[in-house]
Amino acid sequence: MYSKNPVNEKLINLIENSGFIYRNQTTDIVVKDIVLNVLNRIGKSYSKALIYQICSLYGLSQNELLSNYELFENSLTRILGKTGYPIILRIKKELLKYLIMNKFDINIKDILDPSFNVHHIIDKLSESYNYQLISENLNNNKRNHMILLSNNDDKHIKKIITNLVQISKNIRNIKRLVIVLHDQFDEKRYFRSISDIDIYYVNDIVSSYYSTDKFFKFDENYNNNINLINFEQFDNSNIQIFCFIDIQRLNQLNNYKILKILEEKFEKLYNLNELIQICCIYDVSNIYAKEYEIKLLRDFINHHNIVIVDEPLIMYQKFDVKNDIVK
Amino acid sequence: MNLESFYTFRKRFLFIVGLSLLSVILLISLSPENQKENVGNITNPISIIIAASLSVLILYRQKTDGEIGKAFLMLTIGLVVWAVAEILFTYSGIITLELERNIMLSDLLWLIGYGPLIYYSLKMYVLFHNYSSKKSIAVILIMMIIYLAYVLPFIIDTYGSSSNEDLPLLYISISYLLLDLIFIFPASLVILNSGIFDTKNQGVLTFFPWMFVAMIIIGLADSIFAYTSVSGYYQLEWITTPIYTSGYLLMAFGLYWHYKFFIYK
Repeated sequence: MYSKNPVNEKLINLIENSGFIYRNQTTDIVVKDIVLNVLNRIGKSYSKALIYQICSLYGLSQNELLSNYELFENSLTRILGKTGYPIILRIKKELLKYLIMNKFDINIKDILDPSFNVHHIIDKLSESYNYQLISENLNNNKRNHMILLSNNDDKHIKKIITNLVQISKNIRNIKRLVIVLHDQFDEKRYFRSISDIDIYYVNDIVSSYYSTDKFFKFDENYNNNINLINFEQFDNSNIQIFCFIDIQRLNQLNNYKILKILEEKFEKLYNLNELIQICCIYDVSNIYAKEYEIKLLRDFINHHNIVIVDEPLIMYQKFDVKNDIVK
Repeated sequence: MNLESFYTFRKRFLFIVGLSLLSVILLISLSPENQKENVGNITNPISIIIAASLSVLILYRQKTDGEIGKAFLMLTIGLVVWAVAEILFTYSGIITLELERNIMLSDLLWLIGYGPLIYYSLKMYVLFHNYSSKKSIAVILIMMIIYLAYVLPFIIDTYGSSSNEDLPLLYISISYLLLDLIFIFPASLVILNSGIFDTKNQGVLTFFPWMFVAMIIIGLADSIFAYTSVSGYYQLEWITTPIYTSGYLLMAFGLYWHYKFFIYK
């Protein structure tokens, strides 16, 4: 029920078309309950009749209508015109009350701001519930291979990485490895609180080998260079790997090969090690402006079992036939 | 009902509304001169009985739960009380042949009926139209003050210059005007907010504020009725009857619309 802004819609479509599903239904349930509660307070018969009329006039099912707030608001405004505004205002009031009562992060400025509408509140609610789900996932799963797709302002990504680092603080003999293919990587931004961390800058390797002619010729050398990081040593140890990739940088270098090799190695390691946390952070801030190799990006995303988008914060999980259909 | 069949229904409905109003107005106006008031005194109770019956039916189906349930309970009480008042008024006019306008039980019932009807109009305003700008509130208030400043002295002057010396009747007539203004105020704001003048913001199901337009029409009829009552021009009283009947019929059509689209069956 989060609102997709046009900027991230492309990315979200890419993820959803790659076989990932958004599992968090909490926001939908809360908003649906509040909408029904507001309508029922006006009158139960009125509420049922209104929903019935909207559904029959626009050919929607009740579930379709109530599980998509944007659709509900648009249909309500078309059916009732301006008469529907007080209902929307009541929904806003109830949602704000819910946020305050449940101690969500909301300030007085937002509450008093008339432009802070129901969509903004739902985004906030969705963001909080999604973060809660991500946090539960990080705490409960010992093994993860996730990809965080971040924009320039990676406020949530930073929080997630910090959370991952915090969780690992109590684990003895944990190793932390950071692989960087990003020009603006700032170690202190993410790993201020820890000292024992190995950082590998892949930028240099890629830059030195960058040449259109050499691209294929030096294929083997790439592998060798990546092998400078001896991944085999981590097969049986507690390890956290953070991999910072700037997709724009890769695009400039016209070189996705390095990423392919890295992802394959991560996947192999993930299959061997039951105590591994691999967190790939892709900077996709310019994905909207430029046409990247969408197919390649989809392939990279497909290597992971969890995809997290930063703005709005959404967690997608791999659609698993065994768990999602057979069960 | 899909959108296409809905719009066809709406066109037919508007045609029937127009035809009914025109028929009633013509029926009264084209009646023989000495029968005009009697015909009007028959159409008035019939039209309000239709409205009150529909309101009872809505209340039965909708129940009294929720804010709209309570608002409709009040509307039903108001309409039933007014229907009884209209029947009594017709009885005294046609059966007992009272020619002079005197204070009667009908007046008391009409005045009592205002209470629940004012509650209904205020409640509906708060529920669905509570977003009036200060400017529109000020404009409506000013118009009401101007109206009152013109009509009140006019009625008092008419009473002074007429042969009618029934002072309580003057008070009753003024009470109607004042009570009308109380429910005309939210009704005017609802009409302004309804999107009737702004098709962009018009709702498919709420394109016309039936009840509130009816209230304004009844308010207008009350002003004329107050004038004819105090002035002693009873021969002109028939003029109010097509206006009252139109108001009550509009209410009935509005209630039918509510029954058709806002009651879950």
